[in-house]
Amino acid sequence: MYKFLRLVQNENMKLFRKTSTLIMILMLIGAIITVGAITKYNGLQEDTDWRQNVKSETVALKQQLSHTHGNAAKALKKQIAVNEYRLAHNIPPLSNRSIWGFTNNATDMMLIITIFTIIIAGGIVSGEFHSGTIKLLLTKPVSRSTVLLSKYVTVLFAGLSFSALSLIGSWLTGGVLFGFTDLDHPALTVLGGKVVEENMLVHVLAVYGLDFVQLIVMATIAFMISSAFRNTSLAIGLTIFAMMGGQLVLQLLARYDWVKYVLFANLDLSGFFGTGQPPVEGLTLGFSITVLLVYYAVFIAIGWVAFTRRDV
Amino acid sequence: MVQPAIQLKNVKKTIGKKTIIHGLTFDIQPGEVFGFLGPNGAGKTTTIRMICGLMKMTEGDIYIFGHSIKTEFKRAIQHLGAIVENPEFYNHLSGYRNLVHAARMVSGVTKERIDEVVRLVGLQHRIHDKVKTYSLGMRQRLGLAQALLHRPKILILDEPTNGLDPAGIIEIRKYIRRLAEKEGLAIIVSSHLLSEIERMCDRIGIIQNGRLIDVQTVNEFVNADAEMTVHFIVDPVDLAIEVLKSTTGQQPARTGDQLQLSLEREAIPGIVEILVNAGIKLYGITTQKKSLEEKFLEVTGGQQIV
Repeated sequence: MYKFLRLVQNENMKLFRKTSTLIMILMLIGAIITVGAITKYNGLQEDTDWRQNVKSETVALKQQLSHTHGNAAKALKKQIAVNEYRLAHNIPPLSNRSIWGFTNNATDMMLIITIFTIIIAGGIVSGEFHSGTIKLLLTKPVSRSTVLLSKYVTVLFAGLSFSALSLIGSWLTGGVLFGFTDLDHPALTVLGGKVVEENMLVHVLAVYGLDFVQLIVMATIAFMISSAFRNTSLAIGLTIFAMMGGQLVLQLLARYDWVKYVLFANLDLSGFFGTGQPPVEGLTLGFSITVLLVYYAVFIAIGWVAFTRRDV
Repeated sequence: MVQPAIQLKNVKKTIGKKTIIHGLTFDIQPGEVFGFLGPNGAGKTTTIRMICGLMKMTEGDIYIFGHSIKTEFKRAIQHLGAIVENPEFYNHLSGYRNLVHAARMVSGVTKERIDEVVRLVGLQHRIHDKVKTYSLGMRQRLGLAQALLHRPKILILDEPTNGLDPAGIIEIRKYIRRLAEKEGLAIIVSSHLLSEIERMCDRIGIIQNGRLIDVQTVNEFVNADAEMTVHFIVDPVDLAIEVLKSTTGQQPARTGDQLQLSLEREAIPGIVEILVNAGIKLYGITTQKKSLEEKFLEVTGGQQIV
């Protein structure tokens, strides 16, 4: 165990002393600050009468509901319930130009963070083969499984660090640009059919957490390809292609019943929470988690077998 | 009997349908420098990779101080320090951090030990520079430092003098001899520079097409043949050529005022007598044994990659 931690320490030393990793961190911080500046100085003036907006939005939603079925209808109903709760309890929607509003919007950074993590995962094993340094790792009294695990943990740690950086960075940027005010503004969400008030920090952490599931799966795919084919570009290219093309594949396959077993139908778990909707009819949270775990186990097994069995 | 440092028992390697190594069996003792020779593609690196656990063998087993590399990998490999093929490092890290990286993977390497090894290979002035700024010779030194860090009992060096200047080569050669003689390390050296092997090794194993065709001590190997090349410095040269031709039946090769003949040791005094009796001035005689290189080409038939 002690040696495992030292291996993780090694991997982190190698990763975070790379110029490309430092550039990723700078890009992430740069993106948050840029979006913040644009929101502050270039955004449209928000209407001061939020009640009128919410009311007219609710009317539009109700019209839409009359010709919608299935998951989409459920999502609309939840949205309407939240709007009505808002009006009844006098809770205005979060402004984009507030610390929590900005922090909440900045959860979109998870897309960039996922791509960065895929890039790291795609290179962390094959890079060692490419440079020949894999020999330094495998001629030491450490099992190959331990070497591989230390790299996998490092990938997830990098993803986690980026996410934490994004959360803290966007909160601070939001605070500096829009003032550290209205900190106890509640988020409204639907839990068990009822509208509830939620702490904003809990809400934002939940968004990050659900997106992190997708990050883990995507990083694992890249990691698997990286250790099975020892080719960095292939690992990064295929995984990003799968991530981008996943939704397209879902649309093409939507008429088949077995679409719910496709990985991409189960990646976005946020549909099961709050006012979201699952991407495919008939999915449940338990089912999606099971499908994800099966895929995950397969990816891990392929990567592990390829790395531990093959000649170097 | 002392336990061998490394024991190969009928090691075979098949990739696809092609058999690359056909059953290697040999031992290497502690304190011995073993030269591993063979033409390109003969299976040297494959064998070294199997000893280091990088490649799995199809049949047979390799024991390091009695521990099987197959079933007791960690216990076997901890005795081993290696540079396999080129000394490769993390170029974006300093030499020192590369050593820290290696130290974290083994047990019991202190900061003092790292500094000691750095001084040993003479890298103390550049150790905090990034490895990408190093010359090949400096990488070799860092490779040696990395391999010696955990005080292994076996050292495996693939082309250890590659990229070193003559002074560096002599230094490394002396150092390898010292490690074997004073500290009792078993050392496997593979090299293209056969004269290097001749100066460094106690025994030589020649491998060709995946078969071990000969294991001999360096002395046996070089002296096995009695014939040697003898150089005569003579005047007048033309007369000497005729005399030598009629007495030995050989056409001597001529370089300036030197004549070369291939002779057995016992024949030399007779030739000298004939030359002197013929009134030829003899200024010098030198004998030259066949070098390992010539022997090597002879044994392997000068074959190209098969």
